[in-house]
Amino acid sequence: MKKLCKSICSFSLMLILVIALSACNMETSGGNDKKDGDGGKEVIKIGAIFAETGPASTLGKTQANYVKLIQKQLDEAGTINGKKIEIIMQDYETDDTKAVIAADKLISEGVVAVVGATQASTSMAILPKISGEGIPLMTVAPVNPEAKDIYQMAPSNLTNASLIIKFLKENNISKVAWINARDGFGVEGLPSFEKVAKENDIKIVAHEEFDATATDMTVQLTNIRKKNPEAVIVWSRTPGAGIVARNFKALGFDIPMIQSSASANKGFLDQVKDNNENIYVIGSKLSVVDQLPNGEQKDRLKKFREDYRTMFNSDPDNFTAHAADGFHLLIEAIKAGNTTSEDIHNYLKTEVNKYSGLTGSFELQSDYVGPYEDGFSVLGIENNEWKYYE
Amino acid sequence: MELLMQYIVTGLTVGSIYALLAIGFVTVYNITGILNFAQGEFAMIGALTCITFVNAGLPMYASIIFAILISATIGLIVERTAILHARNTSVIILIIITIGVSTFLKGMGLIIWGTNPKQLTPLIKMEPIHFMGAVINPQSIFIFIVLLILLAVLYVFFEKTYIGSALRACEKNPRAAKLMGINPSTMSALAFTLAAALGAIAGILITPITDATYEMGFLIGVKGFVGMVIGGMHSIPGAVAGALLVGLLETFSGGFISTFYSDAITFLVLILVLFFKPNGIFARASGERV
Repeated sequence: MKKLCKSICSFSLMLILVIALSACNMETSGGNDKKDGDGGKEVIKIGAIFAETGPASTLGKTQANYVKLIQKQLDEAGTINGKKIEIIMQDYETDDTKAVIAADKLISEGVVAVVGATQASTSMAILPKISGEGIPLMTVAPVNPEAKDIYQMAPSNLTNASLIIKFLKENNISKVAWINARDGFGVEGLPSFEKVAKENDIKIVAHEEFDATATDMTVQLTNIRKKNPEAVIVWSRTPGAGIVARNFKALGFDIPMIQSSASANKGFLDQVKDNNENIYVIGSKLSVVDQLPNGEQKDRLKKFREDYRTMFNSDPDNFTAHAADGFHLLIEAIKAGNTTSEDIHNYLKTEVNKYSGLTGSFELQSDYVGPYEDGFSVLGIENNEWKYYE
Repeated sequence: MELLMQYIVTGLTVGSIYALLAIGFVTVYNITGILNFAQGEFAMIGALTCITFVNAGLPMYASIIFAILISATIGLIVERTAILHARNTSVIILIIITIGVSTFLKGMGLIIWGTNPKQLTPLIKMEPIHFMGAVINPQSIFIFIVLLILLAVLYVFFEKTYIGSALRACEKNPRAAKLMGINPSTMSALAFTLAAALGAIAGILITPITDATYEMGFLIGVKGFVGMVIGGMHSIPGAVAGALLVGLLETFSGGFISTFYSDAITFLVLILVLFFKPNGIFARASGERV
């Protein structure tokens, strides 16, 4: 009896799997039909690989949303040089393996370029496949600066480091302590900062680590206090980032604390509520659009935010901006008459000189990785909102 | 001296958080012989449902009670659906099932509450207390008091009540317990319900210090488990002492040696304990080992 029950169970499980799989296929083939029946117009396809679901969806969800927004804008604008642009979005569910499968699928669909992926590790995982086909990859994460054939839309750690150095110099600080989370993001920050700090005569007097989900960082901060730094730099995601800030207040530090761009979100603001004087975060100017001086950059960011708000009733963030820059650069390339992967590569490598994007200005033919620091600023917190300092 | 005080205070704060988790571990282990690796996730569910109720406008105390009840119900459902059907397989399979349950609950937490950390205002709102140069978070004193109350209540429950003795009998000898008219299956359900409720209390208590996220359960769960192994798998006071020791070990090794190695040192101690006192350092010798 038990055996029978078991076999019925496993059989029905198989059945469900088969049905689910065929449903997936149906969906994609349905999509294909629509494309083919598009009045015989020539279609240029751009691929997108974002983490719409899974833990990285905090970053990837708005990027996936943006695909819908830009597709709508493209459709409304009509054709470019008689060609229609279509974006094929793939959700990799915060799973590098699924991202590689998605990359294969995009290649077989014949995309001319790919924007993605949401995370650095994923971008590196799909890079060999995509660059092997000669397809340009516009990553929206800070990847290894040594990587070839990849265009980085997110600011590099070096850019972030020079922003901090600028802030330190303005405040006459020459001795800092560094504390980071013991994960992929946390440990990447220090090497770049060390390099820039050395060039600018800023001493790192203490270095501590903690687990990003740990419950208390008092010991690390006590160790740091012994070294008498003039500022503390934190490189961690939330919740660790917020707990460090809280312990910092409880211990009565009266020096500035500077946090990485991973803390430039609403979650962090809520965590440090009522405890946030002397805390600074590297943030995008997008989060302080209304406080920016009037000018081209303000208009550009404002329009981006309004477009996104109208469609999704929520605000875009920095990560949305990275994705948007990736798509805009590709559309620029196509507008200039480049319709193959090779032509787009050439265009990006030779023609993009001081392109003003949402994340900052790009100069892709130079050795500088990612956007320049002009789209970012060290933000303070006032009344539980970000505060912009000129 | 100031440093030493601060390390002790921080160690006890962190240790008491682990202890709250360790209590839940021992409860399930004592009754069913299963190591329930979903214990940390019960804490997560308790904390996040409580925050949801508070944000919906319910009074604090009502939210806490509802959150504990909901977590207990989830514990019961987990036992009835995932554990009950595999009851007659080996213990290792049951342990692996709890790991699966833990991953499942974490996934559900991610879908329901997202990744942003959520806050809970403490029951007693106070400024940090300065004591002999060390800074004490008032919430950690509160945690300590609750920990002591729980110890007393659980002691009375397991040692002095009929149902408590029945629960203990199930682990000591399920067959004999059955012959005495105790139903081990009911007791197992009760154990998981109780453990989930204890987990929820832990989660709600620590959230004012650590904030709540879908992934908060894993690390404190593992540390609570280590505390339980060091202190002795069978005794609740032993597990609590073990968990406090883990907290102190972490802060002292972090403070005097390096925060880079504090985890390694904690696990080294765990290995040494398993080598020399496999029953835990606080376990009394018993005649059961053959």
